[in-house]
Amino acid sequence: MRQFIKSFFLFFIFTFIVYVLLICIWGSFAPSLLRKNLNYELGAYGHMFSRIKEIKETENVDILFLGSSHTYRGFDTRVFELNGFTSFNLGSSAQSPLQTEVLLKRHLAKLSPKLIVYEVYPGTFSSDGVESSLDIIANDINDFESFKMAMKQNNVKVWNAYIYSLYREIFNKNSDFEEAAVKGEDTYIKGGYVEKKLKYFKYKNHEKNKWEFEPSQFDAFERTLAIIMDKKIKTIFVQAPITTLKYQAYTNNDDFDKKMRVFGDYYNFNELMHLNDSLNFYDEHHLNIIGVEIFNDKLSNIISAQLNKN
Amino acid sequence: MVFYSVEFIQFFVLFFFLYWLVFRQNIKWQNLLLLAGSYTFYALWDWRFLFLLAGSSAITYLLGLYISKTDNEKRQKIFLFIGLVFGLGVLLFFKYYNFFINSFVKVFSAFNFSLDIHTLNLILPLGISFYTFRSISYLLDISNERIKPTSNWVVFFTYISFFPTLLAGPIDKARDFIPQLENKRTFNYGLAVDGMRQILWGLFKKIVIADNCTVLTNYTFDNYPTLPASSLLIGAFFYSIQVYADFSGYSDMAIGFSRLIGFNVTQNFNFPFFSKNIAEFWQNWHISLTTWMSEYVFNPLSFLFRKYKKWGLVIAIIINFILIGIWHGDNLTFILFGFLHGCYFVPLIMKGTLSNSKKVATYNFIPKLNEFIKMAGVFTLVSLTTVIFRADSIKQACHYYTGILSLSLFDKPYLKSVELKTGMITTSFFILFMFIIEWLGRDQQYGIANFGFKFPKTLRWFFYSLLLFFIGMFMNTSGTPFLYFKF
Repeated sequence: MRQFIKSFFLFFIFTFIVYVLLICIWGSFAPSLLRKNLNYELGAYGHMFSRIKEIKETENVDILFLGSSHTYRGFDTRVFELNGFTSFNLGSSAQSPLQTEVLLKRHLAKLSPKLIVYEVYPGTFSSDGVESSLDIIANDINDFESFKMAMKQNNVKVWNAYIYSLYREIFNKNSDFEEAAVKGEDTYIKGGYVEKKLKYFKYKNHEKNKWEFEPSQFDAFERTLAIIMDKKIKTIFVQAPITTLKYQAYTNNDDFDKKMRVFGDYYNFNELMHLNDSLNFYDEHHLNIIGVEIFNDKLSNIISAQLNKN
Repeated sequence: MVFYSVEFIQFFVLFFFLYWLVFRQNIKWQNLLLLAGSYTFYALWDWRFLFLLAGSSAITYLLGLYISKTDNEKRQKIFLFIGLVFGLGVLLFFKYYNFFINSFVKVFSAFNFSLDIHTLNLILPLGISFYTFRSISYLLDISNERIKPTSNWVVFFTYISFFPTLLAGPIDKARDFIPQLENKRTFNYGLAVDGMRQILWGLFKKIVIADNCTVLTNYTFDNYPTLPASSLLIGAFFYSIQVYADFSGYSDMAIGFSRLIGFNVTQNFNFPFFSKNIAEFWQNWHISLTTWMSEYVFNPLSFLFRKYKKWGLVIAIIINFILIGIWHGDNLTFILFGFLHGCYFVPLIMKGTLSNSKKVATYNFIPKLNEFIKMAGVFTLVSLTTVIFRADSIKQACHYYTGILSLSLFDKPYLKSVELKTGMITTSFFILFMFIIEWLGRDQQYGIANFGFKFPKTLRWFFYSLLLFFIGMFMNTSGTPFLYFKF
């Protein structure tokens, strides 16, 4: 028995070393066809790399935006600047509360906002958060918080990306990387907003569906709020508009609204304003620049009122 | 709580240390722990059917004792009859109640009688087909005086609910398994290491091959009306490999975990795709079920029909395979699947070559051309028949076959997305890898049993680590349940 346990642990260590080495080699040389569970994309869709780079030069903002792609594609920092508020958009692709918690722990002290606009979308509370973890692991620093996030998610894709990302950090492989501000139809705007070239949405039908919430995301959400409350930062919760068809396809939106109202000032813009699916969106999730302008005007009033209260 | 979930690993590690370190001195305590572990394992899946498992075990246990104690042959038969009616009755109720009711209503409606009989929203208790067969073989063996009943209820209950094999087999016979429970078990390093190796190979087959084949076969079967024949044929091939990798992978893991706790469990697969005819294939596929059926169904039937000589054998084998088909579930597709496999035996029976086949490439490294053609033939036949096994209805299977029999058989296979295309390429590579390893290890119990033993330990460990790396790099993270859990 003792010999078995000893052999098992030796094999475990051996395999761990081989696995780590193979991940580094595989990530560096294997074609994407063979990298099924190693989704490491530096400067990926969403400009997270540029956003993280910009944080280093940013501090003490009035407004901090948090949330998914609805955030970085829906909250135009220039609009709020025109109203006299400095802001930073820390949205990232499919960002769920698990990643918001990590990002806040890393960057909240430096950004030190007066108001946090937390974009809450039922989809991110129903997701496993893997997509967003991969984005953050590839484009932000990797510290103990990343390790804790990987532990919580316990997904092989997250672990593989984490190992590979650590290797790249240790061997300084990303030092030469520069992310272009314009990528295809997307333009990165200073402050974290990503502007999409004007496009319109083609009508799409949806079958009725129901949100299946992940309890772990609500746990992370509560932990995140505790961090914010600890710093005594005013927070409002916003559900950004999506196409009416997509929104109404879900039968339990009310459940989510009820849950959110418990946490504080909550604004569901799918109920508060009526945008046109074809004219104000470029896909079923995201506003086009016309939609962003309408939405941000309305949001500015709320934000001004909140900041002036202070 | 599948074998490769974090929850199962936690459960097993705790169990393993309690089993070998705390309870190893006393076999009674060790068996009690095994029983408690098995019931906990089952309850973590679905506690509602724990009472059915316990009740079924209790009735079989008592009937076994009654059959053995009474000298009156008539009484013995009555007790056996009660046991069979109970075991099969519960199985039929849960598995086939709705099927019978629907068929009954359909038949009557054909004669313009409308019946208003409600079907029930039944959930199939996990593992019921497997533990019912264990119970039945126990009673039949006692009745035929092949074994004596155990008087130790813990031993019997553990035999029925033994957790590594509870949900999807292998179906061990009481005469092989109960003695292992009754004798003291000591930790065997070789057996445990072998078990670990078998678990690894099973994991690789399930996670890297079966789960990735699932993506492709789901796509093919969901879109078959729009796909060219070449895609449908490839879909059929992939599905038969998926079933093999999934079920043999599960069996390897079940056997491996059993070995870690000192048990030798019946081998369930013996490289069936290296068979030269259909008889050989079934001797090597789901062995524990086919031997069970041979012993308790085919042999008595062939004895019953012996006066019809070869035709008696044909009838016995077709009935046997129809029952194997029905065992899988309440769909006519399974009956047709079994019937066809039974029919494939007819030429062998008529030629008298049912049982005189030689193992493939016995003295050669590679098979001879005629052996290769025969193996490819068996694989194609099995794959095409598996379409019926996968289809939701016979109508769907017929449409699928009609799709295959078209000129687009020579078209380039169509896959909608880049992910599917890359998935097919990588999965094909791993299928080839699996077949090469299994070919090299075809004389062993499983593919990597002796693989690389000529090489230094470090190289062997590197190979095992490479398998783990492939699992980590190519696993399907959405997770797919074991196919045979639904049976």
